Amino acid sequence: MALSVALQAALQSLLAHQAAIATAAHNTANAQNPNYSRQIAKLQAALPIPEPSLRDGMSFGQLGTGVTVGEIIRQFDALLADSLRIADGRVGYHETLVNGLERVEALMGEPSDSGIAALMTEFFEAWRNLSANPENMGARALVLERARTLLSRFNALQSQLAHEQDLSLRQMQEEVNALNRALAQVARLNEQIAASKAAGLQPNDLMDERDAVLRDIARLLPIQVSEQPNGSVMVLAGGHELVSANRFRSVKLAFDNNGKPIVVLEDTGDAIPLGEGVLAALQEFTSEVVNRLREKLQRLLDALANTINGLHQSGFGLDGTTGDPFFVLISGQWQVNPSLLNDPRRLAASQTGAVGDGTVAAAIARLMDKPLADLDGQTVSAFYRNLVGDLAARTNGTQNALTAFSEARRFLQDRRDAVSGVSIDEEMVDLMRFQQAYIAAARVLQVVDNLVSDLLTNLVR
Amino acid sequence: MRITPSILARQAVAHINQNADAINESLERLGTGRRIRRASDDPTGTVLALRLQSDIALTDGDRRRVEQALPYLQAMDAALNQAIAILQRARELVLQASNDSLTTDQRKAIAEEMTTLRDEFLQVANTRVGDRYLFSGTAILTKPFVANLAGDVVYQGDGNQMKVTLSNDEQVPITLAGNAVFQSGEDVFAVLKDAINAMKAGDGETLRANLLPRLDASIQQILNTAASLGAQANRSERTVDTLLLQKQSFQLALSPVLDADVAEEVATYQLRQTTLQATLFAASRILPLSLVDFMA
Repeated sequence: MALSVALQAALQSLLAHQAAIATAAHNTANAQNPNYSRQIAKLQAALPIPEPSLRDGMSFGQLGTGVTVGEIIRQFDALLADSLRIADGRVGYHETLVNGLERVEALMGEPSDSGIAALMTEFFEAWRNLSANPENMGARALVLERARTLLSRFNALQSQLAHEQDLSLRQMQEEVNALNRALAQVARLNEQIAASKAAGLQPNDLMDERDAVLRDIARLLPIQVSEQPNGSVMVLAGGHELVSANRFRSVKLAFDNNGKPIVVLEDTGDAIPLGEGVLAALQEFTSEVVNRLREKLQRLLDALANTINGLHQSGFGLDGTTGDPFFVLISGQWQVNPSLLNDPRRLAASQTGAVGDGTVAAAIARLMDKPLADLDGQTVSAFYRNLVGDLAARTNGTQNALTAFSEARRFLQDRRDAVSGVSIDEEMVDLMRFQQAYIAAARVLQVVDNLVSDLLTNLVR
Repeated sequence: MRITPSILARQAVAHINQNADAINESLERLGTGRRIRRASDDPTGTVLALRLQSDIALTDGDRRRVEQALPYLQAMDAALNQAIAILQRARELVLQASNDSLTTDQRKAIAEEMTTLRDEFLQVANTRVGDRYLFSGTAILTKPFVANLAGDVVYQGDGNQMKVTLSNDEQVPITLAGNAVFQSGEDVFAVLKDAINAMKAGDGETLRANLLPRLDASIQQILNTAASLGAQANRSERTVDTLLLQKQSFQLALSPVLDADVAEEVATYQLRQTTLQATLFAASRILPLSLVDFMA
């Protein structure tokens, strides 16, 4: 009886350590897989059997029957997974925003000798030069040329910024598509995981896959994940259920009354709060950063054009013309009045009509540092400088936040790896341990075999 | 804490990136010579730099314009001094002619010289620099003084002054209203005309009692204008120097904001390079270490 139990125990040991070695091999194979959670074969003693004894009768036995693998445990910390999802969202938000802000900064190109600030100074310089040389056709041509250069820089910047808005809207659409695919994937994985759990299996690798997809989702928008008893997870975003068991609700890109891009549920049309994530960054970039910048630039140009026009219309050209605007709106864009370009003598530098009078030109030149009501009492140059400064401060702040949040995420990733990561050295040690156990079990088998054969040989003889 | 190879690798990569990033920044600063490569490098410095750059451009423009104005001031000064010299000679002639003992021929000769002086005076009053008349106010292309058939000189210009405006709203006049200089109070041309007529008529009494005081008043009138103009010319010359100094001080203020400190950048660069080398060395020694290498 006991010999067959020993035989059984040795066999169990062989099988259990084969499973343990397989687990170590699986771990080693996935050592470089960032989403993989280390698995441990939990060895536990097999159910002991009752051993009949003369003294104690058939009391519940102390005779062990070997070892079994109770379960394959997944080394996983749900709290860390939660923190990592939040960190991913924050890093994604700041990364996307920094990307956009740096592109806008490059478009503005300040400080430089060719930015709008320099062109504006040159433009006003040309007016001041005209005021000292009102009868000089070269001075007139210079004013017109610099006005055109300044306008074309403004208009180019506006259209580049509009292009940036287009691009980020398109990216937002793509991210929403990716979000829908990820939600569908979570629902599918939920189904598979619940099914295999119901069958008493341990779907560790599927759970790793699902966690990876959840992190992808959390990068886009903040979610709350709660695990259900059957192994599936419920995904909520701002109180809206996105995934429950094997069902998911898709979302789509829409626009609110102010033209701001928002993400809504396809079935109910409810807007999902975007919190901090890539989608929130794209939303903020298009509707806040770029839009506000474009509005401010337009406001600056409008104030400049209207004030200059007012002064210019009060003056006289060399040929006695008066009342011409300097800038005109052609299909919504400010342009230099074509009649001035055709005949620079019409440029009204003079207040009295005298050739040597440059009073109006001097007054226009003075506009650069004159507080304007249209600009909340700021001067044209200060308004632009503040605009550049605000954008720079925003970029700088976001860059610093990105560095800080990236550091924080790196720390969390290290914590996660400390729990779930694979250490090859550790697996090698385990392999050696299991190998020894396996060899030992085989030895036991051999000994029992010897005992049995000794018994049989001696009995037969 | 369990340390896995991926933690070590992440650590190594993060530090290598940090150092490489710092080296890249230093290189970019050294290459461009600029401390602020993008506005976000230093938002406050950028705003200051934009302000100073525009100030430098304006100061430069102002200096150019004042330098352009100076020849006009000098030419006006010269013209007024010449006008005074002519009038002083005219005064001598009036004194000579007022002597009742002169012969008719002598008077005629004096009257002729007087006529020449008047023509000279008209020329001086019509002085031009380039295309611009100095004494026609802002009607700079119009000849200011023209004699009509009756021999009266009529002013064609206007009563304003052409001015060069600086960025601080200071104004430098570069023309004068000729009627204010030559025809307000005493009409100098009328004085000269009357003197010639009196000489021709041999009217010594009028020359003595009427024309001499009027001539003196004319000289005084032009002297006053010349004095204030001279003061203006001096002021403008000083303005040029001031503007030069201002530009220098703006540039001095701009340099530490915008320009890279080469010595500091080189030092940073070397320090970071050493750190990077150390990181790379450590990573190359530690990362490959594994139990696998020691297993038979």
